[in-house]
Amino acid sequence: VIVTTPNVLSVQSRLRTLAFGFPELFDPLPLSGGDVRLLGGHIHPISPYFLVLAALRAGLEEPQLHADRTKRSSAFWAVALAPILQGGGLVHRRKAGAQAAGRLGGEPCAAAVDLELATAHQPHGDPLGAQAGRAPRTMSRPLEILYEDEDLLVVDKPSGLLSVPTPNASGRTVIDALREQGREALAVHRIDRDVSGALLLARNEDVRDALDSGLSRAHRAQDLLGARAGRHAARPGRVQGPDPGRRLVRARVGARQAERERAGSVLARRAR
Amino acid sequence: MQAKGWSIPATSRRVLELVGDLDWQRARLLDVGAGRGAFCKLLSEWLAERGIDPARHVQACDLHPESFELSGIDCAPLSEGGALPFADGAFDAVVSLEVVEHVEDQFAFFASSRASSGRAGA
Repeated sequence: VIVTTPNVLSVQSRLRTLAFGFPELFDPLPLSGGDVRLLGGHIHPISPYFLVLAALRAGLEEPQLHADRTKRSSAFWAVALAPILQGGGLVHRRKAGAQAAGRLGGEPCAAAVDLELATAHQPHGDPLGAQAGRAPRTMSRPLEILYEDEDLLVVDKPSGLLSVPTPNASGRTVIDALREQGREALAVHRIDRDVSGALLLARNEDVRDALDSGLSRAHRAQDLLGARAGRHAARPGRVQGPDPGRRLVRARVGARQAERERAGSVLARRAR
Repeated sequence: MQAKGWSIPATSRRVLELVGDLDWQRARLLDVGAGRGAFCKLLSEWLAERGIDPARHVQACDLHPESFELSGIDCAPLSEGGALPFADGAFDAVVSLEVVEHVEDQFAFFASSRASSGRAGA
């Protein structure tokens, strides 16, 4: 079952709700008229969270969220509002986690509807590194796409997941996880398996080569991405240097909320 | 009210990607709220390019089937209550593009879509 709908959680839609009280594409409709289906407009904004909830309640399994396109015009506001949006996301995740633990009550299926989980397309608890004979590692959380376009991909790598295979460590990698989501990407740099944070990947060899060259010259990108993850004291705007690409990378990382502008869709497999 | 008169090409293309890996030699797909038939047209062209007869694999339905403009694909009318006029499990896949935001009971909409999907043996 695939259902598409305008994404009311896009930055532009959030701003429009703040300014006008109505999400994007959900303008007020005339209250007169009998059948609400015949008003000629959208009557029920539904967020990805409740899309997933409706799918699960209907008996569908493995809900996944997809976006059909990115909207670059949202990038400015996504960067400007990043602290608020990330703070809100953190509160949401904590609340969803508490629900999952049963501390807030609610129906079991509601507790399972964590937007992050639904988006990730990757189950918690996958054994990692089992091939190497070590105790299986688990990801601290699903792999989240922060930004995506035809050249670049930025993911929020959870701890426990390898960036790339190394001689001393084998197991599931970010590339593997992305491939399961139907995305192909090439590694540009790495973050230690036990460390979480933004990881930049290239979508093709040309971009990878260009990034390789730039990163090896400057050796600054990891500091920049680490700053986003809060592990460094550097703040946006305080990093010095001549690298013009750094600003671009920062903008792209900050564009996480701009990426799903249009359709959150739910793909789910019927329960067998 | 008129049927959906417009579509979002990027959305249709993304949905086509998602259903592209079905076994189209035998799969049957239902488009709920097909409107004028934008997605059915895209899918039909995609199937025809692969030598597959769309009429045997694609079914549409809409509150206003008279607005469906694609010939060769059947568009069944939805009942007044919005129930799907098909047997449970009649289709391998059910798609619905830009419709759920129009419906009165979104949970019932999902339940009905689920009931029509998952054809036995699929």
